[in-house]
Amino acid sequence: MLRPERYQSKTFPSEKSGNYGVQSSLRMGLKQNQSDLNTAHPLEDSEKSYDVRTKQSNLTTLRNIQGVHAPLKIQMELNAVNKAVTRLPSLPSSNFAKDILNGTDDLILPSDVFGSRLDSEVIGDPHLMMEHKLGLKPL
Amino acid sequence: MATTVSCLEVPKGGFSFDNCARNARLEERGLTRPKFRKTGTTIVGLVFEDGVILGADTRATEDTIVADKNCSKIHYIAPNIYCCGAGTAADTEKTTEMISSNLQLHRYRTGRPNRVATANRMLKQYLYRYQGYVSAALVLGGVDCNGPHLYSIHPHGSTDKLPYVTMGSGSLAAMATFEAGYKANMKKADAMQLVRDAVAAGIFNDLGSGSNVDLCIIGKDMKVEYLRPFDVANKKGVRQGNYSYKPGTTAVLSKSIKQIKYDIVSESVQEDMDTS
Repeated sequence: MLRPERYQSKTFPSEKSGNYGVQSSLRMGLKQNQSDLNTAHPLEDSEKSYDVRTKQSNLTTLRNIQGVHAPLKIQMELNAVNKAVTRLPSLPSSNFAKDILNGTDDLILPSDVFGSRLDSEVIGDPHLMMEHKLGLKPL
Repeated sequence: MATTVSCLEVPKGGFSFDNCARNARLEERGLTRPKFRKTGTTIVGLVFEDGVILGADTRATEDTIVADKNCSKIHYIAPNIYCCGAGTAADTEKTTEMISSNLQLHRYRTGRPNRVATANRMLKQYLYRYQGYVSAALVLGGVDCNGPHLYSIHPHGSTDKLPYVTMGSGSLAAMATFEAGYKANMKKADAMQLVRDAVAAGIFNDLGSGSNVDLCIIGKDMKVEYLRPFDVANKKGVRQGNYSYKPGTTAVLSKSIKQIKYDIVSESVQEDMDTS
């Protein structure tokens, strides 16, 4: 399948909000530089981008085999599903339509076995999640 | 109030690396990690005339302690495919369970028995994705429409398709036995004996392997015989003597029975526990 990216210790764009890239002290606490610069585990980067990379690779293969219309059709359907059928971020969702379009509806992935949403130790505040989704800049 | 940790996006699932940085810092300050259960093992596979024989020992260790004297290392993947697992016990079990579930869905989708090559490819892609951190070394064997097949799969994701394979800490001892005794197209009885000898070589010459020999024979027409245990190589000793005294050994000299006087201080009625 896909070759994981070679592990390199590097700085990567932080998820800080605000015009000046400053962390919001009210929401995330006082600034801690070190935790941003180190990836804790060589697989962390690879796992974060895995879904995106597999999708890209599959669409490229599809384009090479069937022509440019095939990936375009699939992406158009995915965009439509994201706009019309997907629930808001903090609501529970089975992602049925997205699963079918991604072809994972008859697969049991590691993300179903480990770290499923039901066992999650983190909780998402609906307001914060919507602001993040819409790209609004909070306090 | 909600938990103190919050997230901005829906958590994706899969392995979580949240505690890795914390663990690294704790180790710097002198913490020793807890030991996990490994199956330092001897697992073998052999292709004979009609099919495939998989063999394994039954010891699971936690560093230098035997954690399980009779664990089962031959895992079910499909009705015609079985897999022996060496390495971290949890990794081999979860990996084989996940692939087994995926193969069942695949069977429903295609309407046919699975091929061993499919199981091999699924396992190899899964292990390569995690670059060897999922420590599972597997011997995969089965019979499908194209005959018997045997693969060995290493933790980093490389596979070999061979007529006889061994994996685990006792693999060298077992491979020596195979190299000396293997012939192409062996009969079933000879093949079973050779596999038993190979696993026994691992049991007696490797500290990480021990106890019994388990066999799984997948023969013609995808018929499976799971022999557990096939050979109890290490019987636990039986106590030679009994040091307990027979009733009546001590003579009773005298008996006196005294009533203990007590007052009832309070009474209370307990309701049935409410399981709501």
